[in-house]
Amino acid sequence: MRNLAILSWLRVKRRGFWLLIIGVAIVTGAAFFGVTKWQLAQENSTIAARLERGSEELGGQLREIPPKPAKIPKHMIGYWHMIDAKEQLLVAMHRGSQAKTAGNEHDYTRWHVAMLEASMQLDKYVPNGAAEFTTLDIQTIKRQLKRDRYLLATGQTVINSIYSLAPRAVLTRLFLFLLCPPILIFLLLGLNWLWRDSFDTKTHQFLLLHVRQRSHVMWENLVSTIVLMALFSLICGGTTGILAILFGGKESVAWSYPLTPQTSLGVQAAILAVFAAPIVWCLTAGVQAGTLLLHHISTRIAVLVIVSAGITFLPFGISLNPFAQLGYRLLDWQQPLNIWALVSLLIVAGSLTGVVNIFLNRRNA
Amino acid sequence: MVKMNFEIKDLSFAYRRHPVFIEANLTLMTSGVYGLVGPNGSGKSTLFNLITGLLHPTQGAITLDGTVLTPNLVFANVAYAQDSSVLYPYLTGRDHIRFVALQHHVAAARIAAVSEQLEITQFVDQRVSSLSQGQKQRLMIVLALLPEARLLLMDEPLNGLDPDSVMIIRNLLEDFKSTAQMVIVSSHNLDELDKVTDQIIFKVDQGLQFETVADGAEARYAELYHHARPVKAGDGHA
Repeated sequence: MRNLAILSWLRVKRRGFWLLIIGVAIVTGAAFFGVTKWQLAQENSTIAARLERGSEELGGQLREIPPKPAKIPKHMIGYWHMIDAKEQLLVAMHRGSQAKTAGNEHDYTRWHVAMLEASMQLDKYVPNGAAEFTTLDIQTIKRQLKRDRYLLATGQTVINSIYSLAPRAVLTRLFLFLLCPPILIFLLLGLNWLWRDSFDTKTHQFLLLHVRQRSHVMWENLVSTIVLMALFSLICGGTTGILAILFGGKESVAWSYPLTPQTSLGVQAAILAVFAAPIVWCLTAGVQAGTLLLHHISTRIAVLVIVSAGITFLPFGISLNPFAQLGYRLLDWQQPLNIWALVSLLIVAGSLTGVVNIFLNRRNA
Repeated sequence: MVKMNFEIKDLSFAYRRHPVFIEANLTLMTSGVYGLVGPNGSGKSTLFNLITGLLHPTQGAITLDGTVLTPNLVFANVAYAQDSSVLYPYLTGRDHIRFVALQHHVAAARIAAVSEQLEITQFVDQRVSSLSQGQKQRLMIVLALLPEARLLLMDEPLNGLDPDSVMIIRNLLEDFKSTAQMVIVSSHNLDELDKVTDQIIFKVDQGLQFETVADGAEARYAELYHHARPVKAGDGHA
């Protein structure tokens, strides 16, 4: 195995494949950061515009209100409390919009809390009164208020979107992207160049003749691919992380940042860490089997991508489907975690490796 | 000559519907150099691939000293100097040698001796893609010689070689006559084959026929392949 690993390294070195990996990883990491930054800017401008529109409508209404009398008649007390709430809402929405435009997330969080509190107040006098300006119903207001107060208490900032440029958040999202099976299969098709290079040519005969057991070739390739994937992830993550530190947002996000009531950023990162090696193992075995079984590379790529995407986005059995556990998480962070899916992932990976071993031993080279 | 027992028993193999061997038999009992002769596409390389386990027979067994050859036994006992297209074109000769030497625990002194013998030291650090056919062929032979396997298979070692390379390989084959190794050489160059051995395995129809050819391989080849074939493919014994 050690000698095979040395040979693999020589092959990677002689072909300049390591330079290619580094280059692609840097480009991928930088592109991911750029796209996230653009998406966040879009989202922020949408939020600011929505708040501005709501505050304009509210301002229009408040302009028509007669001046507040020095002594409020008893039957008008409720009316003037409602007007007070609307004024508070107007100020909070306007200031919130300004903070969002300026990219000051701490300020925005404070004004967002004030807006939600004013909305709660308004709802006491006019049921669903805030919805007209904020498009939020009372349940959403209560939920967001609870979350925002928690964030204020912990010094974190609200990220209304799943896009964030805080290093921890952007890195977690990067790895969600990389470990999504249909994306990962593309990466592994590239990173498992050593296997394809041998088995798409006659050079595998040289390897098979000089190993005591053919399974050594398979295991060494699996380890090399995992190492190359780790190298790729490290460089890609490093690039995104450095860009996030240098040009990232003003958000402050802790591992305890609540993505959903069930999942925090830390839990999300832990899930990815636990699933990373087995999913790479599983899909690498898939790529190895594909190379041995399907002669044409285009057919091979199409079959592998279709199969992995199909299994990932099957609409049933999600809680036990490890591919879906990773795939749906990219689209929807609220997907509940089922760590038992890891067991089925390990079983699938082990079985695929067994199948590759059988093909390798029965194959007419 | 050293006693050995290499046996092919009831070997059958087909590429899809095209049978290459049907219950072929062969027994070789002593070390030395044997030629393997047959027309193009008759299955000489296929036989070597079957012996080394790169192809799997549909029926029959190949044994060395009574033990069926498994990948583990092939690794320990069989060396195969095949077509040079199995080399990685972007690796150097030394990269290949280092790998094979490490796998088979070959001492540095032996690497040096074999490299000298095959005269590859001048180009061993060049990439395989930049080597001539003869240089690649010599490198392949060095790789096959390093492990000192008991059974050495050489597939067309003289093909497309310059006169210098032919002389080097002919001298090498001469040396094998006095070693404890069994060497099977496939070749179309019957003149050269005659210079190193008179023990020839002919691939006839879907069988193997072993003969000691006193009048040279060429005459017998003409009888077997260019005229009506009086001898039916059958068992060969040495």
